[in-house]
Amino acid sequence: MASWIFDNPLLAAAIGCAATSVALMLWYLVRRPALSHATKIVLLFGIGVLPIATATTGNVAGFEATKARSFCGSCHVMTPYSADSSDPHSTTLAARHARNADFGDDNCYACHANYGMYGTILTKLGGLRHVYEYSLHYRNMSLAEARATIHIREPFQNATCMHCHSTQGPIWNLVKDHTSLLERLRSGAVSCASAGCHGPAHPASKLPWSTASTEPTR
Amino acid sequence: MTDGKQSIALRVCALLTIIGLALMVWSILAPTPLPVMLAMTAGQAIGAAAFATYLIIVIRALRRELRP
Repeated sequence: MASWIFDNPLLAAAIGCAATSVALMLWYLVRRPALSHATKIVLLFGIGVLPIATATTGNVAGFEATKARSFCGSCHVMTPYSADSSDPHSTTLAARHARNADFGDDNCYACHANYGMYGTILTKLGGLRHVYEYSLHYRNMSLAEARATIHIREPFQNATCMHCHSTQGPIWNLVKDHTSLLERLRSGAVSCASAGCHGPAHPASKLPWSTASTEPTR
Repeated sequence: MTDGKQSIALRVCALLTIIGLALMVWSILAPTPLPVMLAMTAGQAIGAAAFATYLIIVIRALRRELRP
């Protein structure tokens, strides 16, 4: 565990600041010095400067951690999806993107993030919703039940695919199905991830907007 | 606020800081949903409350010292 922390200078800095701050706080709690100017300065570092540095670096590290496939797969209901993405022999859309060096271990985030102006914030808010739903509704659900009931909240947007596949490249347009469906693909009327095209993206994918779901969409 | 109350309040601040830092470090060592969310909400709120309390105590003490 220590190696990956100290390979990342940001994480090492965060832990270093936290350790120094805790040492200062313990010194204050044990020694109980008078509230002189020197003590105030020590406390300023111990309560203010160093914890703020820890929080800042920890936030950056936290935001990066939330992009990792291992983070998404740490909720048991997501393990079929993350396991498929990690499978080098899988031919699903998600797994093929996971083998792309540009996405790699962050492939869940790359495809499910919102790329609008406030995309990062909206994506993080959506992630908070997932944590809330998981903690209150899905935490004790069996994997078999989860596979049958959990589905994507909204239809997958073609705009996300078009963030990389612009639909304007010459190679992309060599595919007859692409050119014949061009306007419908751009408008989202036909999904890139539909079963007849490049989908389903995951082995457990469902189409919540067209098929029966036993659970209301959360 | 008397010196005794100041001292107690600052000790509480020190304890809160340690709790907040523990949550933040937990999220770094185990970056899974629960620790990360706790660090970014409760951990930072606790740390901010401790720092705000410290600032109030120190500013009051400085104003008392500067008062003619």
